[in-house]
Amino acid sequence: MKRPLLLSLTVTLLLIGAAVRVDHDVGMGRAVRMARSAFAATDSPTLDPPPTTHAVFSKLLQGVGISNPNGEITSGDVFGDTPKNLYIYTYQQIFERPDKDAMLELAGAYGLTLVDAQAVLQGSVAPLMRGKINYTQSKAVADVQKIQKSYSEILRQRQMKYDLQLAVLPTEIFSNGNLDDSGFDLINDLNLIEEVLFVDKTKVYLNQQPFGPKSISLKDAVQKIANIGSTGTSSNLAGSSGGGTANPSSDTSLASNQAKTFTLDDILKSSSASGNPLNYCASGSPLNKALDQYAQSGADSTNNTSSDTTGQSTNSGSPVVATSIENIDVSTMTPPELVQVPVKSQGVFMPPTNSFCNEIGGTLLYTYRTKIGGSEHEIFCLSLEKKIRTYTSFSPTKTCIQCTIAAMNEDMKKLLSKNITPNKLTGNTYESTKCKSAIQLSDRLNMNIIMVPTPVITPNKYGPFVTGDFSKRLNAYVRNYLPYGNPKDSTPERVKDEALANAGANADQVNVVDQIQAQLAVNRKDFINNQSIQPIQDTGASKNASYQQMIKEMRQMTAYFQSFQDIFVRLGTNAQNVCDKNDVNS
Amino acid sequence: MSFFSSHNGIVKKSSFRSPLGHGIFSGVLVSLLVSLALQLIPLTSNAADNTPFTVNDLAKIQQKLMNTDDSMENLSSLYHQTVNNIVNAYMDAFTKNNSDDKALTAPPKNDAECSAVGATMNLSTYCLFLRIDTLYATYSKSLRVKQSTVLQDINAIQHGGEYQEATANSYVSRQKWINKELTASQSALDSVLRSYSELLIQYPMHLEYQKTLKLLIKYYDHLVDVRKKVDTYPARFQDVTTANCT
Repeated sequence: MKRPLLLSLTVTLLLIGAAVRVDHDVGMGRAVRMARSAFAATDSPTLDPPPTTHAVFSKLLQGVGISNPNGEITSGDVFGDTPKNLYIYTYQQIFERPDKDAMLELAGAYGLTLVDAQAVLQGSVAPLMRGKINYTQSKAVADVQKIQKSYSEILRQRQMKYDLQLAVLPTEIFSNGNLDDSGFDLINDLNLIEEVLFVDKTKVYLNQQPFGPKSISLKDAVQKIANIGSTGTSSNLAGSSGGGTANPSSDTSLASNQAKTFTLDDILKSSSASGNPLNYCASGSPLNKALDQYAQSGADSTNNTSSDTTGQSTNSGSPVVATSIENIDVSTMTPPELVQVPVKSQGVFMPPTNSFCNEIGGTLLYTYRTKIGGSEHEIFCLSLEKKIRTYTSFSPTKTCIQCTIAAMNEDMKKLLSKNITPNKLTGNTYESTKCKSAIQLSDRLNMNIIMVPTPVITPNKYGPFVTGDFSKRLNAYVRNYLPYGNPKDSTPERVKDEALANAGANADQVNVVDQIQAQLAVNRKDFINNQSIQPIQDTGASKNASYQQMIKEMRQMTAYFQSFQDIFVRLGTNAQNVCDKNDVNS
Repeated sequence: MSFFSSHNGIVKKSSFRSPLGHGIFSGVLVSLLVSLALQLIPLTSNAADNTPFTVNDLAKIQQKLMNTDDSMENLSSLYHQTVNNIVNAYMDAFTKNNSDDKALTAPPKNDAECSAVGATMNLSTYCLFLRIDTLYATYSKSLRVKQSTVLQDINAIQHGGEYQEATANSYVSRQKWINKELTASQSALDSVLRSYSELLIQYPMHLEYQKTLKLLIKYYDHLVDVRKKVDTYPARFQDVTTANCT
């Protein structure tokens, strides 16, 4: 009984001894010896495997509310509306990215999958030998070693890359021109300001919203017209509701119909095949030719044509044929008069080959029967076209401030080169031949915009990024950060020299060394005591002061812009007053 | 010199990280000092609702981080989530702080200033670091304990005649993982603190740029208004000659 008790006590003591050392960098051999002794008579504990990187980050991201099956935090998860998750993003960049990138590069270089590459790195030759006939085991082993060596080199390079990146990233994250790694970026801000001031841009996006005058593209214009038609005449154009047709497939929206272009043959085929005539706009219409023929045929022929078109009797007068085009305000064409032809139910839409609608071949947008004059079986041919014209010399592609000013000066150059002040007959000697009130008007027209460069006020002597006494800061840095304080009197060499100088002739080597060690210990203690928050305060205050100065400059510049803006407001009023003058408007 | 390393000496004085660090008593001492430090810095949760800022919350988390019986995966996840939440809360509080009070972001004159809460909470990098450092010290200590435990495990198995290659590989990979985690955690903390420090400086600049940009857009709009009126001048003044003074 005594022996187990003694052994148990020994184990306990040694366990305590092992625990005593847990937080120290103990020597491997000593720890091994202790552990061997401690666990010699105990059951072998189980070893839980190290967590996989994927498992760690999956759990981590799930914990912070990021759902990503790949266990990767993306740049979109960092910042956003509010800054968030920068820490995890940084941590993952450090912990995982070098390995992952190196593995990807290795797999790509040797044509392996990621799984195979990992297996090879762990010493497996199977992925290399798979499917190869004359590939010996020894060759495979050699290749595995080669790949492992290659991976080490790639990993080293990747690690170096990320180390360098890590050294720079924190200080540049908000000023590297990249919004992907942060929610804002000063370089990006400056780029935006520069674009507004100087650069020609079709669109400048601010928070995904374009600003400046909007230019409407042809496509947008067409779509806009389509929307007008579909909304303004929806009750009639929808087909299923207005015309009372029972065919559900005819309930196709106009917008979707507009997406395709059909020839008339297509329409007819479709109509005959499915019984569903499509109100599509055919392409390549000889509209002008048809219009000419229509004009030549005279007003009477119109009735005949429409009668031919429908194939039914019509005595309701001329059908309305709208062909013009830019003069038509489509938004006002909401028809109670227009009702879409319920084609299937009545079978009236079969444009004969010699009809007017067929002659204009394909410009047919919609077919309607009209209630004009009481007839319900008129084919109504409508062609719509919207032409967008620039009504001023303003070019929508020039959206910068400098471009606008330059364009204004250019536009005004021709006008201001002439004297537009009205003359009058002189009544008196030496009297001006110009109308006096107009002279005042002329002065107003002599507008020009002068840009006055404003000097940027920066802290003198050291520029905007360094403030205060640099040498003083350097001394503070040396005093507080270098291992032994001021190098003038505290470096180990100086301590050694002083110790030798003060040792005297009879001092032995041991005394000198002791003296040096004592002095170094004192200096080290002083260094720790001196390592206060003050240098950090200085550094932070210095940077803050620099940026505060820049903020003041920005505010000053903003004030200039504000004053210019006020000037433009007044200028706009005056310009309108000039336009409103009777003589100008006449 | 990294931010982290530059603060190391200070933290040794101000946080619970024991300069003794020897023996089993250091664990007890560390626990006591942790409690003491938490009492000295009465953190409360007002920067963000989901951030464990209260004394009790932080104490519970530190207690969990000290539990070396827990898996490394759980310890790692708990630590990094907590740090991430704290950093998020500080960034959130700073960017939503409309006050022009520079004292909120200036480094404190002493550690006690970091205990301020609410609207006067010191948002400086130093105070952020002070809060995180207590967690980091606990976490890194636990990892080292587990590292040592691993060493005991493998030798126990080896000594008992049950040595297996797989176990050895597991031991090596765990050692590597812990070493890598210790390095990465410190680097990540250092990096994010420097980023936060930059945020304190550059975010106000960003706000000023935004003001300027918005003003410039208005400026441009007014300029376009003037231009639209002036553009019609050449047409309006054509053939407007009159013999009558108006």
